Amino acid sequence: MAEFQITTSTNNNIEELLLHGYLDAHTAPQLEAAIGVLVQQGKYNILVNFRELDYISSAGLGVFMVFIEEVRNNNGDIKLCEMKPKVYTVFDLLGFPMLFEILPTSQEATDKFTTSNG
Amino acid sequence: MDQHQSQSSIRSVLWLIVFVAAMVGHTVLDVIRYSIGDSISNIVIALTNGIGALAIASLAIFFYDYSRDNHFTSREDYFREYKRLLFALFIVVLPFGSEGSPANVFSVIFDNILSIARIAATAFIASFVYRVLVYQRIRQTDNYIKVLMYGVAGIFVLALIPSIAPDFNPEVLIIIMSVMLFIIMFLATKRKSWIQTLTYKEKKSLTWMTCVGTLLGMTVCAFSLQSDTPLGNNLDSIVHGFNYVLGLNAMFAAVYSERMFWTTLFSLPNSGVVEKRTFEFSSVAYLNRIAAESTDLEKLYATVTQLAQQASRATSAWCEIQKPNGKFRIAAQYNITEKQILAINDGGVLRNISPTLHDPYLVELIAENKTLGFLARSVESFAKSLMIAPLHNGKDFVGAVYVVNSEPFSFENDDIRALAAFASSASVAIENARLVEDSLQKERYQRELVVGRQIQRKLLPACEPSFKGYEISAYSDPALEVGGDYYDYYTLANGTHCVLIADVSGKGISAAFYMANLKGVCLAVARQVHTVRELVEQINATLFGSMERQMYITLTAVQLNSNGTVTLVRAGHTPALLYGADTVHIIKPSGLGIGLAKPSFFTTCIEEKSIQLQQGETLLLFTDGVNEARNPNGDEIGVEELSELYKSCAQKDEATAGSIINDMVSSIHRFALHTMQHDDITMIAIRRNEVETLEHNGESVETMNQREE
Repeated sequence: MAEFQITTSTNNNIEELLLHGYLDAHTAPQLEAAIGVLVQQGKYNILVNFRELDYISSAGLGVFMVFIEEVRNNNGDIKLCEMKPKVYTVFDLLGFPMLFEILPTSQEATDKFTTSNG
Repeated sequence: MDQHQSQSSIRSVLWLIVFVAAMVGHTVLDVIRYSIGDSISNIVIALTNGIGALAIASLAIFFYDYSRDNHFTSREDYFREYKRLLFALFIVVLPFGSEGSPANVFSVIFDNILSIARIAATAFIASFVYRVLVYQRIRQTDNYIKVLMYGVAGIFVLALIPSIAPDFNPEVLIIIMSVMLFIIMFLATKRKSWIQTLTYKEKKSLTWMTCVGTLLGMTVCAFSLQSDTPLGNNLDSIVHGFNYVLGLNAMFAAVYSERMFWTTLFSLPNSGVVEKRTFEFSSVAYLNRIAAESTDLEKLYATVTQLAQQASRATSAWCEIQKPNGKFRIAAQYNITEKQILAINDGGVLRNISPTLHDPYLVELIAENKTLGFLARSVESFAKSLMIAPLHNGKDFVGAVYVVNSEPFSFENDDIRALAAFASSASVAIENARLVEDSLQKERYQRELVVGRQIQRKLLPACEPSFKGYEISAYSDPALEVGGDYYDYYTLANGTHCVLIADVSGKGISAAFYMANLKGVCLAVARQVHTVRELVEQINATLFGSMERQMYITLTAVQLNSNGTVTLVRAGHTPALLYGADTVHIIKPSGLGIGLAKPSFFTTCIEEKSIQLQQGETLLLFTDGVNEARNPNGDEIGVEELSELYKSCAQKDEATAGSIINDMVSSIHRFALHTMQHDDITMIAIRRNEVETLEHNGESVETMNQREE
């Protein structure tokens, strides 16, 4: 079972969090802390990349709800991208596609940020 | 008791008076003897000796009483009396008194006064001999004492005979008896093992004292056994032969002191070891007892601190324990103030060192230490050298004991070893106490959780409902004592029945609280709504904003119409499985979890799905604990495989809602083998069964159908 890890990178005013491994109730606080740091720094364009994430449990989803309101109130957004089908299913069941933009590629997500900001 | 004491003290005083009176008489007779000169008769000599003997006897009785009332009861007694013995020997050996005949009347009187002191000293020596024999008693001690007493008395009598019968020469007999007594003395002073238990300091002073005692005893013995020395002559002149009594007692003192001297001297080098071993054993035993007796960790820290101070012979000690947040707190302190501890911990310097240690750390001189040198000035009043002993729980650092000494270079290698041994046993004791505390705490929580589980069980339906045209069966099992799964049956405002299954995100206590809250909301809302869509929307409207942001609830509500139509609303919950016509369909209308969106948006996300159930067709609702159940390899069942399992359970000829649930539960357990259930599991089967219903309530079904249309 792969350890959960987050790699952050900044690109064109967009903070990208690349998730690795296994996101569940135990590892969710790490992600919460990482997003919390960005929000505190006033970085509201957050892109979460699921390319390297192997598994997400339903308990791991709550994290995205914690900051979404504050981020959107500051004209930012949290967008999700590059989910494996199994991961997408979990988001889909809960109805997340209705709350978050879930995009197939990182590029599309970046473009979305640029257009909405522009 | 008091009466006895006062009686014996009156008797002692009387005997003292007799002694003094006799000595005065003796002096007078001596003066007369001196003035009359050589033409003195044997009768006067005998009288002088007789009065001298009376004086000695009365003092002997006085000291006999004194000895009986003043037995040694402790080492302190022993040391005090031994010092007095040395003093007595010293008094006796003072080289005063006439050699041969006295020179004048004054020297006669002086000789007599000297005699009083010497007789008293002799009596005290005898008393010491008696008491030391009793104190270091061995099996034959009583016999030895008798032999010694009779032996000394015998020699005394032998020496007296010539004054009555001048022809008799007792010298050979006296020498033989003296040698015999010497052997007895040697045998009687065998017991010396108690010396091992003395401290180094005590042994050192005893070595010196016994050395002096040996020399003094030998000198006194040598002088008093000859009657032509000032000492021998002086005593001989009181009572003929009394010099032998002193000589033999002094001989005993010499023999005894000599034996003690060598034993003490040879046990000096290992005294530190014995001392420390004794201390280690007793402190470990003490710690274990404290740890076993009480679960009071604070008391244990205090004991550990004080024992560490003793083990390392430090001036002060304190104990710090690391709190779960990584900070330290002073758990106990001994002979040091909090201010001093903070001073020596300036900038957390010690607290940085101690967690890195495996063994005690010694700083012989703080001023010369690289890391701690800067402290030297501010702490020199109370700490110049320092030792740190880390305390571990298994491999984890839990805290440290610090000991400081106001002298530099005050700790030796032995002290480090003693502290190391001590710290490891202290660690064990602390670990034990913590385990006991933890398990007590755990037991308390466990009891609370058992109560919680019972209460939660009561929040779920007690039995299966009997809804017309349907068979319903349910199963629920939390992963922990309490969980976040919930299911229930309601009758809505229009009289239709409704089945609800819900899963609060997370598990355990927090989930259980939301679950209980959810039940209350559902009960209140169900009475006021007519459709499951309304039901779900109202639940979201009530709970949205009152839940923690990261918490949400998924649920599926199914409205059961008596015509066999079921309407299903899914609020982010796992899909339902529909078994009919030998296939399993996954039912997954669009929907959003409860608590994720405000009511106006939530409404737009919810989709209703109506299904017409035929006889025997069954709808299975479940929580994600079911499809996420894992086998020992860590693989989940998944919805696909679950559908297959479900199909095989539902297509059996005799299948009922109850049998399907039972089969499903055992299938899932078979799949998971003995893997620990990691999430709550809940399943509900809703099976269309018109037969039974029609038999009983055919008409009412039709009426109801019409009404709904």
